[in-house]
Amino acid sequence: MTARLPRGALVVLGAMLAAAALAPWLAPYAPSAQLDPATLAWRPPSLAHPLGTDSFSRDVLSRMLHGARSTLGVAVLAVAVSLTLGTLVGALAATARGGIDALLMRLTDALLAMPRLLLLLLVVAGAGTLDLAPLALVLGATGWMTTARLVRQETARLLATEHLRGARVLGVPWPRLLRRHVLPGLAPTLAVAATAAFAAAVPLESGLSYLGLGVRTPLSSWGNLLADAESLPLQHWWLILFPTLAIATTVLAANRLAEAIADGMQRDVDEGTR
Amino acid sequence: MARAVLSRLLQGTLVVLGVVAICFTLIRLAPGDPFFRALDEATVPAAQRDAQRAAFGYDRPIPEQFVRFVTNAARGELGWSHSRGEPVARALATTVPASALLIAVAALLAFGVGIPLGAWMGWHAERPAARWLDRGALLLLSVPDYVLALLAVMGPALAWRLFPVGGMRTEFGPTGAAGLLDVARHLALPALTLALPIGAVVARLQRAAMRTVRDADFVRTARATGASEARVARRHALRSALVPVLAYAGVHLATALGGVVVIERIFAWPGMGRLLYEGVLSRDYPLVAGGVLVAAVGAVVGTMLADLALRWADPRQRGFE
Amino acid sequence: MPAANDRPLALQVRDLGVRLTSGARPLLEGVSFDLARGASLGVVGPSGAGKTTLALALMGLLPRHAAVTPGATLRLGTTPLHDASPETRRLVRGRRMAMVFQEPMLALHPALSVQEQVAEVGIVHGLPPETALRRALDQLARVGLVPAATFGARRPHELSGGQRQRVLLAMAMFLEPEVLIADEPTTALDPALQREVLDQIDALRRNAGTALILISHDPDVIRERCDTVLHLRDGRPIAPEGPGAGGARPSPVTRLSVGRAATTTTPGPSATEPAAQVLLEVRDLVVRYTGPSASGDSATAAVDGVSFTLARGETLGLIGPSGAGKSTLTHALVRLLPVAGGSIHFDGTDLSAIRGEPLRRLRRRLQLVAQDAGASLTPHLTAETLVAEGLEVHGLARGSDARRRARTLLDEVGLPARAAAARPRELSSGERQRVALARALAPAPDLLVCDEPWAALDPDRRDAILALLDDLRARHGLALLVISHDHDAVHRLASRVLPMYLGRVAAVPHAAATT
Repeated sequence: MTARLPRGALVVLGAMLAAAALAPWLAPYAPSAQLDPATLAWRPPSLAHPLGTDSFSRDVLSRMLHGARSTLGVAVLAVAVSLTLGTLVGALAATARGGIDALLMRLTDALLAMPRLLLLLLVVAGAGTLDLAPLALVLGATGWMTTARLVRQETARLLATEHLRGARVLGVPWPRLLRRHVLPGLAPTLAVAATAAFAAAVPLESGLSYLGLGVRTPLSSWGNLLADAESLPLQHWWLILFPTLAIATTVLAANRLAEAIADGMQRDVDEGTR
Repeated sequence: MARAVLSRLLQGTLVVLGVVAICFTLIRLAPGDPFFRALDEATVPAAQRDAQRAAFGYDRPIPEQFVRFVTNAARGELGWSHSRGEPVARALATTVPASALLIAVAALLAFGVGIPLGAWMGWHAERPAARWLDRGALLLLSVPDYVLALLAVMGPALAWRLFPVGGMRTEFGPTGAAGLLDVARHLALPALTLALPIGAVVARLQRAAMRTVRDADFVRTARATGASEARVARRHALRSALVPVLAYAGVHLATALGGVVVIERIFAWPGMGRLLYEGVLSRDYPLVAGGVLVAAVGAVVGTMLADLALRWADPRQRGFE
Repeated sequence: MPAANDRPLALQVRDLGVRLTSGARPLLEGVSFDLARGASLGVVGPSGAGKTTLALALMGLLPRHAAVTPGATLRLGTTPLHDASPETRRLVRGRRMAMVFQEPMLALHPALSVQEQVAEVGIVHGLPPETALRRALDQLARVGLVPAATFGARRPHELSGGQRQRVLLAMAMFLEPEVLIADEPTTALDPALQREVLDQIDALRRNAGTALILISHDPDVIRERCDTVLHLRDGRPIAPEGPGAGGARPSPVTRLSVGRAATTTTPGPSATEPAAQVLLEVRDLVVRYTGPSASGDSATAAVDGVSFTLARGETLGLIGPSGAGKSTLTHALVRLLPVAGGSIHFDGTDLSAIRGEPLRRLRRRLQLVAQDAGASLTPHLTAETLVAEGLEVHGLARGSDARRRARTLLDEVGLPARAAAARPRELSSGERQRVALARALAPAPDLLVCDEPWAALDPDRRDAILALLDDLRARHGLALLVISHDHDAVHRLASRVLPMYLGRVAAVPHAAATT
């Protein structure tokens, strides 16, 4: 793989994930501590509260850090679920071919034909409230289709390549064939699928939380921070600006990374080295 | 061509059935039914509870409920919406047009602007303006649609009062031509926020495709005939470069339009998305099932149109067959 | 050909060079020639010599990152082109100067009908669309695509390679240009078709008085078709050749190596008698090919009733045009395709009857060097790993021992030491071919099947691979089955040659050996 990874995007993603992991130590206050509702509510950013305070005088920075924990945690877990499911379905379809392939792909099509948000709403509303882990599971379970299509396509391509034939003619046994000749070739595709799934999961989690169906108070997430800021007048700009920035930069970085890896793969294909 | 359309129709029907089956399964897997709050009070006798459920068929085996739902749906009967107190078909009939208008305008904006803009960006990929536009588009598609909608409500609508904050028309507002203008003013922000992320994806796909195609051998052949750059770009390059965009539209249209639910809620747009959102919250199964059915049919029709356009752009494409 | 000097010039080129805008090494430099009206110039040279760059520079179609160096002179008739505006260049293209491109598969628009594409030339130069469309049909008939109305309505993917090439020719000659540039117009075609298309070009340009620049890597084609020859190597003209001075002399180097190889290979001593120890026996083999073809056009042709035997240590050649089922046969021989009828016996074992582990173990003795051997190497593994794998999976050596033996093999096929640690993409196509060869030799097979092992190579490199194969055969005592459409090469290597045509082997095993 000749991918040139965008350093900026890696730094942003790394910083965001680190902030999420270290939130309890980094956050200056407890996320739901109401410091002083009488005097400290609606404070714009200052030295004491770099990102300001909200209507309940809670420190926005602390809430953002803990919000990163739920938002990114859910997203990462969701990616793990969708990647596993998608890879299994895609690889199975590509290797089985025939009827099983057709069946699996039609199922994937049917799921893709449904707006994902609607699917999520159905599940979430049916279940009532969801903890973080089940929420991630549901997100992953509704997001594996794109991965499955990608993996199926790439596996089918790899299985038809000359180099796989070459290895077969050489007499390489199947397990070794898959391990040494197919899987490493699949790695960049999985990287693209994972980053793209992450870029999709962050807005979805935050969107659900924004609608009041995902992460709920007292837990904070970037989505319910925005819900708190909904229809506030513009003078409380910091309450909407920072969560927006956090979501947008994270998603942007993930998108950039997915794109760079995909570009690298495309270059390899163009140069005939894949 | 006719055979292609027919086979696509058949597949589309299967996909719709699949979607309904999935939706049905999900609803029935979830605990509770529409009566679990209203009827499960201790004061309601068990017999009455069961009678009520039986009246609406909720006591039948799930496969039977499914078959009945599908056969009824084929006759245009979608059942009774508990939360709205009217037939599902009527609830949908009053909201679908508003959603269709919103989606149509948004899609027109997204593709109408995204395709030419993306094509320009790809053809002149070396120009700084094209590069900045590309980065802008990437940024735009990284902002979730609901955040865009929030920002639109806060800025242009609430703070600057350029547009109405929500709804589809001003109450007791003008009618006739002025009424249309009123709807247009209400439509502007939701359509734009729905169109922006989709348009950004379309523009970037179109850019990438155009950038690849401009170095294709057949484009060089077109230049060798002495065709002008504009003609080469429009007649020769663009048609082939549309293929990935149309393929995207075919597969991801439904996902992209999922934003309708949130947008309609934020802008209080009286469409099906909001109806479904409310239906889900109140566990109005017949309403949700009917809505998903309509959405799936819409998505399948959209996919088919994209597929046919794909055949036009590249006769070698065989779509899903 | 003294007349050439008296005729008015169609094209005058002085000191033409091309360099990348990034300023790297020039792609082309110091090219000068005169082309009289109606005359023909051949451009020869190995791949990468700058032949196509020259053509594109003449047409004004250089890719974005390349530009003609200042100081060059380019005159079409009396029109100077080197300092002409892009608009002037554009108006010249298609009308006064046209080009036929290399890859007919890719050079036509996939979605427009053939008639539309031919008519396009007229339309962009001011013909009314109806006239252009009508004349496009005439033009299609003229290049032999009859009925023209039927062909005109087709799209390129519904045409064969030869037909597409004719469409390109119809486009290029539509406005009877003064100069026609043909860039390897027949490389993708069978020998028979090659001749037809070249004849077609000659016929059309004779009528229109068009001068021709014919680019080819095949000296024979150039010798036969061109008045003068321009040799290019590494972007420079070599061996100055006067107009009409029989510049079509093949370079001495090529001649010599052909002669040498021919003498070293012919005396396959007793191998001409396939009596001794039969290693491979193919009887009435039938193979149906269903998958998509790698080479595009006509590979769906199946193998239908092929029989031959091959003795231990013998070299057998199979020749035939593309589409004769050669690759299908190869794939069936190494059990990549199922056998639909007949039998393949390898050293007494019925190949079509075994599967799984016994088949895998048998593969050790039966190896293949595929057509595009470079593609048969897994891209993320190094040459050493790839070669060592052949030893490891058959339990012949493992670990550092396998790697050491792999390096020895790589050395033996003539690769430099640095190649061992290189991945396929870091090697040239010739080097990759050698890695594939080393890999096939690693398990010490009894039979090596070579499917056009030089298809992707220049003549010089082809000769080197030929010599190497023969040397290896002699030293390892392995039997070789060489499959190709290249008569020359096969005859130099094989003691027996069987012609193959449309899925059948013509049953004259001995007659061919005497050539």
